Amino acid sequence: MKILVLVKQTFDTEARITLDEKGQICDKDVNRITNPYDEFALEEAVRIKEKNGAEVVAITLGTEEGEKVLRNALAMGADRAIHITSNLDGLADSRKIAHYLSQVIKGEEADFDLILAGWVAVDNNAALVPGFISEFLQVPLANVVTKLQLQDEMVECEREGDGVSEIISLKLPALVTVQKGINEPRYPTMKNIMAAKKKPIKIINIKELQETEPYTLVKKFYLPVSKGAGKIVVDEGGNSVGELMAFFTEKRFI
Amino acid sequence: MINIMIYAEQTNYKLRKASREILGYFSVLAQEQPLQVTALVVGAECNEVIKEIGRCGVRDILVMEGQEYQTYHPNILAQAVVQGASDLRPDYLVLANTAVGKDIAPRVGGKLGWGCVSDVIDLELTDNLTFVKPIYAGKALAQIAGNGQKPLIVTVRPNALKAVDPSPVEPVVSKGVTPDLTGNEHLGYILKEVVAKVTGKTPPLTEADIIVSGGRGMKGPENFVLLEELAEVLGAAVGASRAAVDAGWREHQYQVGQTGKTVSPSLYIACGISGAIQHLAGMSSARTVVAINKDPNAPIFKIADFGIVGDALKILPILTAELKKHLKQTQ
Ligand SMILES: Cc1cc2nc3c(=O)[nH]c(=O)nc-3n(C[C@H](O)[C@H](O)[C@H](O)COP(=O)(O)OP(=O)(O)OC[C@H]3O[C@@H](n4cnc5c(N)ncnc54)[C@H](O)[C@@H]3O)c2cc1C
Repeated sequence: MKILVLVKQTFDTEARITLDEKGQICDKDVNRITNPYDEFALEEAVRIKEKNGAEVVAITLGTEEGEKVLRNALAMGADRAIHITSNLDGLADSRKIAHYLSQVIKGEEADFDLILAGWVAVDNNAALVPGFISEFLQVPLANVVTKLQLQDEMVECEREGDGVSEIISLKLPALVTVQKGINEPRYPTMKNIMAAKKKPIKIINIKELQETEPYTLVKKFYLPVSKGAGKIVVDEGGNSVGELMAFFTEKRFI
Repeated sequence: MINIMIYAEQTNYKLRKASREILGYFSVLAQEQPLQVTALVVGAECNEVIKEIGRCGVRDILVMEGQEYQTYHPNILAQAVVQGASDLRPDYLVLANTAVGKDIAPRVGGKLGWGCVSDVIDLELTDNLTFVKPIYAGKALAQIAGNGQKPLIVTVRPNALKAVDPSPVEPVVSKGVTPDLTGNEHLGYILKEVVAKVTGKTPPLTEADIIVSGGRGMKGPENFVLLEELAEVLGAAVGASRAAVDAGWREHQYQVGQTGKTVSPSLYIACGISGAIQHLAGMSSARTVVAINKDPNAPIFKIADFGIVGDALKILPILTAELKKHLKQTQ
C-alpha cells in the first residue's frame, strides 16, 4: 500500500503579520510550521503504516523553507519525500497548486492507494486544493474526516457536515482530507529526527513541469483596522449586568 | 453586463440563511448596477425554496428537481451545478462557504476548468468584481480578482455580507436539464449513513447571529448549562474554546478558532476565554464582542467592545434572569 500525504508550510499561528513598503506580506522573520491539519494527515498515514504496512510519501510545493516540513514529516514516520520547489507562496492560486501536485502524482506516484491531506490550511483558509486534485486525478474525495478505517478495497470515513456527520465509503484509490479529532499527532523523538536527516527528499523544480496560468490574482494586501478599546467594567456583586443590558439596548440586540 | 449565478443551498426544503444573504445582497446590487442575477436550485422538492428566493429579490431561477438530490452526494450535486453553470455561462458562480459549498466548489471548478476563491467576506464592483478574503486567520486581508479570462467560482462566508432589505419579486422559473449520470453517479463515493448532530432549536455555529462561547474559565462541563440558558433567551448558538473542547466539555464541532470554526456573528459573548491568538482567529470578524473574564489583563479585553472583569459563573445567571425579565416586559 502506498499513501501520499500532502503537506504545506504555513506561518506559525503566533506570527505577527506586517506589510513591507511594497505592500507585500513580510515573511522574512516568520517561523514556518507544518500546517496543523496536515500533521493529523501525517499521523494517520503513519498509524496505517504501523498497523498494516505501507509506504508513506510526503509531498510539498513551495519555497526552500518547505524542507523543514518535509523533515518533520520524515521524522514523524514518512519514508521519503518530494519537494516541488517554487517561489509560489501559501497564498498562491489553489487551482494552480493542485495542477502541479497532480502532475507529479500522475507521473511517478500514480500507483498510490490513498492520498491524505489536512482539510484546510491555516494561512489562506481556502480548503480548495484537495477538491481540485480529486477532479484532476479522477479519484473519490471525502472532506473533513474525523475517523478513517481501511477495509479491503475501500476506506470508510466519518465526515463532518453542517450539523450532521456522515459515514462515507470510498473506493480506493481515494483522497481523504482530515479534521482535528481524528488522532493526536506524535512529537518526533530525537532518534527519529536524526534518522529523518538521512531519508531521501526528491527535488523537482517547478520549471520542469508543464506550466499553467493562475486563475485568481491578488490585487493588494491590507491590514484590518483595529476597533479601538471598548468599555471595561469591573463587576461587584452583579452590578455590571445593568450596564451590559444598557449596552445591548444601545446596540439593538434587545 | 455581468452575469452572476448563485447556488441557492437548501436544508430540509428550506433556503439556507447563508444563501439568503447572498441572494439578497446581489439582488439589491443589481438594482443599481448592470448585473444579471440567476439563482440555481437543486433538490428533490424545491417549491418552498423558489418562493423564498423570490422574497430575496431574485426573479430568474433555474431549477433542477429530482429524487437523486434527496440526500447530499457531492459528485451528484457538483454535476448538477456544472450542468447549470454550463447552460448559463455566468461570469461568476457564487456559493455560500458552508460545508456543502466548500465541498463542491473546487469539484465544480475542476470539472469546468474555472478557478475558485473561497471564504470571501466582502466584494467590490468596478469593471469586474473583486473579492476581499481574510488571510492568516484575519490578521491580514487580501483583495482578489479572477484572471479576466475564465469565469470564477466564489464562496462567501456566512454572516459576512452587510444585511440588506431586498424587494420581493414574483419568481420566473425555468427547468434545467438534469445531467445524465448513468454509470458514474457515485464515482466511488458511497453514502452509508447520516447522523444528525444538531437539534432544530439552535442555529449552526457558523450561521448564528449571536454566539455565547465558553472557555476553561467555565470550570467544568456542568457550567455550560449557564451558557445554554443564556443562549436560549438570546436565540444564540453555544461555542467553546479549544481548552474547553480538549477537556472534553464540548464536542470539537463547537470549537471556535484557528483549528475550529470561523464565525462572524453580530454578537459574540466570550465567557472565561483568555483570548489567545488562535481563538481570536476564529471570531475576530464578529461585529460586536462582549467578554466576561476574571483577569483584567486577559487579551480578550483588547478586542472586546464591552468587557466585564468578574466571575462568569456568578454573572451569567444574573444576566439570563435580567434578559428574561426584559423580554417579558417588552412582550
Ligand atoms: C496550532 C494551534 C491551534 C489552536 N487552535 C485553537 C482554536 O481553534 N481555538 C481555541 O480556542 N484555541 C486554539 N488554540 C489554543 C489557544 O492557544 C489557547 O490555549 C486556548 O484558546 C485557551 O483556551 P481558554 O481561553 O478557554 O483557556 P485559558 O487560556 O486557560 O483561559 C481561561 C480564562 O478564563 C478566565 N477565568 C477563569 N475563571 C474564570 C471565571 N470564574 N470567570 C471568568 N473568567 C474566568 C481566566 O482568567 C482565563 O483568562 C490553538 C493553539 C495552537 C498552538
